[in-house]
Amino acid sequence: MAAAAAEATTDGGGKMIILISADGKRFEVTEAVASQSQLISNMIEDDCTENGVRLPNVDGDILTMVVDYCNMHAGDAAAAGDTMKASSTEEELKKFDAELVQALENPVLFKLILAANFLNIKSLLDMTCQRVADMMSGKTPEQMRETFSIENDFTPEEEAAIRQENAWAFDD
Amino acid sequence: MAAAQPPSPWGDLPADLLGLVLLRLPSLPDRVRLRAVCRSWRAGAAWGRHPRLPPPLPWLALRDGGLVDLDGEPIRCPTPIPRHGVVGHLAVDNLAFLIHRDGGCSLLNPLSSSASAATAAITPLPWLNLAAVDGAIGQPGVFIGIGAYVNVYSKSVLSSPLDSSPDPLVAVVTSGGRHVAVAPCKRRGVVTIVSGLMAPQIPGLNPTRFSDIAFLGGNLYTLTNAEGLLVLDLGSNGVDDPPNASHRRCIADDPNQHEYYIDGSTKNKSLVLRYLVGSNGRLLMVRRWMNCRQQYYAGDMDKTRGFEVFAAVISDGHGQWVKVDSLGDQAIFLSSECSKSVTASQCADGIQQDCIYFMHRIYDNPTKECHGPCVDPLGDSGVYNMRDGTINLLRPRAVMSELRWKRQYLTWFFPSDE
Repeated sequence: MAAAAAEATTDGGGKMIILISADGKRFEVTEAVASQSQLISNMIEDDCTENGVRLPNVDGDILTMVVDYCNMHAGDAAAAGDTMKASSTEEELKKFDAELVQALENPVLFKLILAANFLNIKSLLDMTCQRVADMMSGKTPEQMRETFSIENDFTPEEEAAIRQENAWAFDD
Repeated sequence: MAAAQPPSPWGDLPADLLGLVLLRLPSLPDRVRLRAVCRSWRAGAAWGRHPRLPPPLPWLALRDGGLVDLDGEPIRCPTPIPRHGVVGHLAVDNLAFLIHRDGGCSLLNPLSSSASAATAAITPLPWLNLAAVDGAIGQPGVFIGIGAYVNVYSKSVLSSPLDSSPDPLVAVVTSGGRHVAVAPCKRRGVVTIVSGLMAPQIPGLNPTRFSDIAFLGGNLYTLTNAEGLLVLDLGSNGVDDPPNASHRRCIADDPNQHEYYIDGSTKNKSLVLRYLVGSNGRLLMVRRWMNCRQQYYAGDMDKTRGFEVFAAVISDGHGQWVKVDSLGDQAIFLSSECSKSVTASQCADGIQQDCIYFMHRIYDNPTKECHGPCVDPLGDSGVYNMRDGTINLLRPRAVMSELRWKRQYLTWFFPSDE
């Protein structure tokens, strides 16, 4: 299994894959870039990427971000054996990632999480979930609702019961 | 204002993705507040849906009964330890073990809301009281005066969570490590006493004392000061056995193990403390090596320099300690009162794998605490990394100052996320 994965990244670098977003935008990427998505990596192994990969769950603007991310991080896998090269880009990658998540508008972050989950890109999913956790940390439920524009759909009685259950966690 | 906002998709975040976010929220208050945002998040983030979620970060229990989080921020306890009628208390996982003026014992959940009828804040332990323990030990009257009750027990452990299990047992070690008592928490049952004085003795050594106790897999294990291990099979009968029920020795005392060692050439003195911790199905003994120039009562000259961890390997009733280099995905929190092995977190500011978080040796020193000058209650605390043997500050420097300012001895408190 490990050997097969290694083979896909080394000899697959040159071959191109077409990704097609929900709104019909086409992205041409190398196999090395695309296989950071475990979903696509599996499809490559199964040899079913010939006619392009349709991604009906992912909008073009989100797929643009995902492809940018994968292009940026493709070096990770390719340079795994080349520590000099990997370390020279580590700083840039960190900067790129930090700017990416910080710049995200709320609804875009939501779509990006769903896309990372659907495409099964672990590092992107980790990063976006961490961003959500950071946005929640230290906030009251009211502040979380405001941050994420969520409506309070509890009845007053339900909410009182929830607060009572863990009264220590609520300042009132 | 809410009407002007476009509808937000966040309420529809699927449960598995909420689970990934929870993994990155190691603090229990954050998790509890997330579940109070909307119905969908409450259902999706429920504890039962994410059984592999690591436990939340522990808190710190102060000697005065208060709780603070790892940043030193006070936790508002709806049910604080009562000042009246309670002469001493120990931290037990997510509870406080109270010793009452009349000799009775009880368990208190300081986070239990007083108006909540579902979980009573106080669970009396009528079968574990000083009279019963006195009687079973056969030494009535060893506890002289009310003040002495404070130090009657040095440690208390539960076999399973009090609220969520049908028949949890509570075990205690008496001060000085001479006795261990076991009793059911919720039903009638006979207190079982294991006396250190009755265990097989090794000629030339002081009488066996008990260093620590731990429940694992339905058994109660007791570690002696010579690294012997006794097992009390509590099986299906629980503690219905008569007092002084037989215990089996599964690891023999080692006459070469001592509490103090003195280096022949430098005359430097080492103290070794031994702890027993159940960890992911393994029973671990942790040796804590400390430099101590003098045997100061409050341990103000202590300096922990390293740890060794051993797993009990038992077959056909005979066992031995085998040294281990890794805790797997676990981390251990150590203190004289309350130790626990927990699954490490997956986030950077969470609980780190293969680390031993240790507290100052002394927890209970009310005299110095009340009348000062107080020794530094965090003087000999830290985080020992088993991978490289380094010892780092328990908390960042600023937090340590905040905690020191409280001038209180600290132990661990493990709030439950269930």
